Amino acid sequence: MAITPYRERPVAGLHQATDADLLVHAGRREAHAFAALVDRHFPVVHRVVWRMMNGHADAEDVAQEAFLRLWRDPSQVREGPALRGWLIRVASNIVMDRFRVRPMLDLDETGELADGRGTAEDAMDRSRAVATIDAAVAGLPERQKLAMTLVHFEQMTNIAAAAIMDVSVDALESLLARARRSLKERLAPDKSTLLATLAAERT
Amino acid sequence: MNRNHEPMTDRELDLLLAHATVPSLPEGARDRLMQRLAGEASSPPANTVVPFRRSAAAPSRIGWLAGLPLAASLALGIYLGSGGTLESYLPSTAYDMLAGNSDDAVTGIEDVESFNEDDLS
Repeated sequence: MAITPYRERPVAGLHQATDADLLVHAGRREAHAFAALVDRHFPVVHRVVWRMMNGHADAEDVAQEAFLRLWRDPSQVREGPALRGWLIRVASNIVMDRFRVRPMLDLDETGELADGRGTAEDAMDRSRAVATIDAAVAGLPERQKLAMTLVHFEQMTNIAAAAIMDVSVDALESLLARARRSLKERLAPDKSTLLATLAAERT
Repeated sequence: MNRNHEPMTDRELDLLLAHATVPSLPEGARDRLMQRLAGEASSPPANTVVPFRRSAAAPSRIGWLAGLPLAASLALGIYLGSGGTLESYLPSTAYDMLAGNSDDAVTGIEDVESFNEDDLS
């Protein structure tokens, strides 16, 4: 099926159009409508995937794959408002499938995120402090990490996050509680240094 | 790792998490995605449907042809039966016997037995 050139038939009020409207046009293979959906949702999908993959270089590829699946069949998403959740769910499933086949390497081996542990006595600069925090998040189990990413980092409601993860709100809250407890345990040894470093950075 | 550390509060954790890396979209990522989409549009869609074998999906043409004589036979039977022309194709003895039997009144099981014995002997 031929793709409609981007400049040929722009949808009136493209940026004001709802996801549902854009999906209808995307279903007619109109690239400009799909490009608007990409502009709207690609950054958040990429952020979630990046967090899930601990900053792995393949994060962009996985985020792209979710959009390709949408492009191949936009009718998979029945309701426009559910689009963002659908994209995140597809992308996070791709991440989990990939690393089920090829387990994620240890963070120390990947070098994607530097592990800042053991630096309490050192003068800790901001980048190392951030790396320590990122490494603590990266070390969470997949589902806890996804729950934290959606609720804490992407500011989604528990209901929305639970819908994306296809779990009950109670189950999501349990994941969040375990994730926070785990993060506290991981970060507590460096707590005073981290807080001091980051506080100094702010002043 | 020192296990005798001071426990962390929720507020302290939130303060630290606020400094976690916020990944930004790599430069050119959007264009690369749109290029992949354009590539998908220009190439034929991958066939992900595994078709049934034809014989399993629908009867073969031979199967349909074999049904034609059966249908014609049924139609002929209905035509002959309804038009009264059937009797000319049946043997006369058989037809007379059927016609004669139709007039006999059957009132009970004894009559049926005698009827059978009479006619078959």
